Amino acid sequence: MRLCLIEDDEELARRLAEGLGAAGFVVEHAYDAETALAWPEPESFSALIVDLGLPGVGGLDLVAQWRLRRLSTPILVLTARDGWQEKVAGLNAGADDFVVKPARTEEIVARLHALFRRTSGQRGPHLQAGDVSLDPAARAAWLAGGEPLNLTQIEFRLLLFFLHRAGRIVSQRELLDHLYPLSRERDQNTVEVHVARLRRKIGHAAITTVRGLGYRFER
Amino acid sequence: MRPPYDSLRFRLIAVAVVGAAVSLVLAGLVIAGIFRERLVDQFRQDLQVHLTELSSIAQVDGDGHPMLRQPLPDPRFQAFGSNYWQIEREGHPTVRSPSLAERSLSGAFATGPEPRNGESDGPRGRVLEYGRTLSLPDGGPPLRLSLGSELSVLAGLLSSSNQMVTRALLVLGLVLVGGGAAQIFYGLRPLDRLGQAIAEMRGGGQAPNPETFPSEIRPLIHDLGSLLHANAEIVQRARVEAGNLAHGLRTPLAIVMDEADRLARTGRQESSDSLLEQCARMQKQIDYHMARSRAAGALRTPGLTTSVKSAIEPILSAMQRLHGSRGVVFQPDRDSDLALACDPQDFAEIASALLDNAGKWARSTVRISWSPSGENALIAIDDDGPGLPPTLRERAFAIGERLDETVAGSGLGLAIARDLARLYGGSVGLSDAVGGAGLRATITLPMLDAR
Repeated sequence: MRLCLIEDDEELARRLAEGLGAAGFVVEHAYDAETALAWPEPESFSALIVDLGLPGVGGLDLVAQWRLRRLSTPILVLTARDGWQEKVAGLNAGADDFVVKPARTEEIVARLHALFRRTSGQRGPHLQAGDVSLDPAARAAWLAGGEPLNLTQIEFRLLLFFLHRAGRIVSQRELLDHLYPLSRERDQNTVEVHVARLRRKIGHAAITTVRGLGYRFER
Repeated sequence: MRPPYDSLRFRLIAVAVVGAAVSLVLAGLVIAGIFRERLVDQFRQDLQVHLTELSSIAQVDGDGHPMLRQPLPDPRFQAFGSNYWQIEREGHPTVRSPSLAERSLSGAFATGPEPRNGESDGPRGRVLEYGRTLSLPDGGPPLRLSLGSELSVLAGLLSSSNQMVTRALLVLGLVLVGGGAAQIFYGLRPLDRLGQAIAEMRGGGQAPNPETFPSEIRPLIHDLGSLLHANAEIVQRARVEAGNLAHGLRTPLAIVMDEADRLARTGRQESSDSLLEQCARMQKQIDYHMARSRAAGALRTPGLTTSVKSAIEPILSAMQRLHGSRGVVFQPDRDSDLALACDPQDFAEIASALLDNAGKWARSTVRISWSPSGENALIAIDDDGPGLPPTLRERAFAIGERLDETVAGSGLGLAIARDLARLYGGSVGLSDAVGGAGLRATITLPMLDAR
C-alpha cells in the first residue's frame, strides 16, 4: 500500500513515515502543497494523508484542488485545531476522514484500513481472499486452516496490497511503487523474487501470472 | 430601598423646585415691597391733598368761629368713615368731621404753617395725622387744621396686596415647576432609550444607531459600538491564541506518543503504557480547556446571531461524507429557519459533536428538526441506533467517560457540547428517540429577541 504524506513538520513526518512503514506501508513524503500537486499520478496512491495546517496553499485548498481534478483516492486529513470547524471544512473540501493530532500511528493505520475497506468493498476488519486472511491492525495473516503465516515486512506489504486488489490485475510497476519508496533504489526483478517467495508460503495457485500485464491474486 | 437623590430626575426637579422657590420668594418680597411703597405714598398723598383742600375752604364766621365754606365731599369724612378732619381755634369751639363725632384728633402736628405729619392715636386706633396752622386776616389766633386717616385701612390694603402677589407667584411657581418637570422628563428620555438599547444588545441585538440620539449622547453610543467591536475582537484573538496553543502543544505530544510506541516495540511495554496513559490525560485536558476558552458565549458578545438552517447545512454534508459509507442518511427539516442568539462557531461545535455522535451510532437514519419553544429554540437530533439506557445518560456527559471504546472518539464531545450550551443559558439533553428505538439529543439555546 502506497501512501503520500503531505506534512511540513519534518520531525513529525519522519516519525509518521517510520511508524507507517513498520505497519506495512510505503510512504512518499511531500513538504508542501505545491510539491504534492505537482506529483505525477496521484491516483497511484492507496491513500493521501494531508496536514490541514500546511503553510502557503493550505491543506484545505490542496484537498479541494485534488477533488476538482476528479481524483477519487481516499484522503485522510490531520487536524491540529481543536473543535469541529476544521474537521467539517476538511470533510466538505473532499476529505474522507480526519485524525486529530497528536495521533498515534496505530490510530492513523486503523483509519487508513477503514478507508481501504470502504473503497474496496470489504466489510469486516479482516481482509480475505482465497485461502488467506489478513488483519492489518494486528499485522497478522493466516491460511484457511488457521495456520499463521510468517512473513517479512516486504512480503506482508505485498500480501496486503494483493488482498485489496483481489481478483484484479496489478502491474509489476504498481507493485514496485507499493513495495518501495521512490527514494530507494528499485529493481523490477525484486518484485518477481518477492512474489515467488510469497507463493512459496501461501500456495502457488493463489497468485496467477498474467503474461505481459502483471499478476492477479485469486479470490 | 435606594435614596431618592439617586435619580437624575429627582435631582433636577429638586434643583428646579428649590430654585423656583427661592427666586419666587425673593421676587415676592421685592414686588410686595414696591406695592407697599406705592400704597403708603398714595395714602400720604391723599391726606396731603385733603389738607390742601381743607386749607382752602377753612374760614371763620362773624364771631371768629372756625367753619368750612363748603363741605368736604369725600364720603370717608362722613359718619363712621375712616378719615377725619378738625379745625381748632383758641378760644373758639372746634369744628370737626362727622366721622369724628364726639372724639378728636391729637392736633399735635398743627404747630406751624408748614404741614407736619406723624402717627397718633385716633378715635378708633392709630392714625396718620397731618396738621398745619392757618393765619387769618382778622389778626386773631391762627386756625389749627388737622387731618387723620385710619392706619388700619392702610394695613388692610397692604395685606390684600400681599395676598394677591403671593397667590400670583404661587401659580407662577407651579407653572414653572410643572414646565420644568416636563422639560426634564422630555430631556432625559434619550437616556431611557439608551437603557432600552443596552438591554436589547444584551438580548442579542445590534448596537444602536448614534444618529438617533442627541449630540451629547452620541459620543457615548459611538464608544459603546467601539466597545462591542473591541470585545468581539478579544474573543476572536482568544480563539486564535487558543488554536495556536493547541497547535503548539499537539506536535510535541504526538512525538512523545510515538516515542512511547517505539518503546513498546523494543519491549519496554510498561514504560510505554504509562507514558501513553499520561499523554492521553494531557490531551484530554488540552482539548477540554481549549474548547472552553474558545467559547464566545463566555463574554456574551451581543449582536451575535446564528441561522440554524445555514449553520447546519455544511455540518450535515460533512457528516454525510464521514458516515455515509456505512449507509447512514442525514435528514434535515428544511422548511423553517430559526435565529439563535449565539455565536455561529459555538453552535457549529455543539451541533457537530452531537451529529457525529448520532452518525456513529445510527443504523440508517439521523433526523434533525428544530422548533421554537418560548424564548428558546429546541434542536432535536434523532438516530435509529441502539439508544442509551436512561441510567447511563448522565455518564455520557462526564469528561473522559467513553461508554463504548469500540467507536472512535475522545469522550469529550458531549461534555463540551453541554458546557457550551450552558454558557448561553441553554442545555443539551438525551432522551428516547421519537418513533421507536434510538437516542434523541436535544439542544436548547436562546432565540434572538425579535423586536
